[in-house]
Amino acid sequence: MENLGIDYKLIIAQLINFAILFFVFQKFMSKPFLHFLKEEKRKEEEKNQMLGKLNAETEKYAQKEKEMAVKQKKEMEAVIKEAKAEAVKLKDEMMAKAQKEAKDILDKTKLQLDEERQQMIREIKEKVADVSTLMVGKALQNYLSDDDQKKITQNILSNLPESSKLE
Amino acid sequence: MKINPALKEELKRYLRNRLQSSNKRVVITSPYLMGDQDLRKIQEKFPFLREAKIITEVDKSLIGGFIIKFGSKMIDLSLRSELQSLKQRIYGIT
Repeated sequence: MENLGIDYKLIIAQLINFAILFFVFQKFMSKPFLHFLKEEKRKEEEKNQMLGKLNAETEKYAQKEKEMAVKQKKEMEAVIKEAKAEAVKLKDEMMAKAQKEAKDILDKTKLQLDEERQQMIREIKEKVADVSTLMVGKALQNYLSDDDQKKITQNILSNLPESSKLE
Repeated sequence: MKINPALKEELKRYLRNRLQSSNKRVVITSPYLMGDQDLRKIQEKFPFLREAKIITEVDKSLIGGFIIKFGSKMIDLSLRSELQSLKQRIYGIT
């Protein structure tokens, strides 16, 4: 074997060296590195899980938000509808009230105008009566002579019942 | 305040006398001065005037007729009062 150039001692020494190197590598480099890789992988998986959970939660919240938005929209529409109905009702009531008030004012004004017209006619008639009697009085006063006045007195006396008595 | 009874009695007597004298006093108002003939005719119609003291007065605004005033009473037979009552009747119609 020595003729073939194979040195058993060297081979053994090299095997020992390799074994030592393998041992050292295994002990101090390969294991921590594998452990580090495993740890990283676990962390990555955890992160992915958390991300998945977060995504699920986000989707869930988004769904909830959507449902709430729909619900709110429905509620808002109902409120608006109710408010519109109330507004229409209120408007009708106010219109009716305003119409009634307007009618009342109109009736009152008509009545007042009627009364004023009646009052005016009455006053005119009274004025006519005043002026007429005043004119007649003045005319009689100016045109009746003493003789005429005496005749009137005689006439009044002759028209009185006999022996009028006063208690 | 108490009034002296003698003073009270005196006041009563005075008022009674005054009332009696005013009842006897008659004022006849006409638009012209009335003569005896007119007064006699009035007395014929109103016998109570025969015993009264008659005072005549002139008021042109009466137009015609006459007014007899005695005490607090009055008999108005003037044209002025007729016109007034006519006016009141016209008011009543309106």
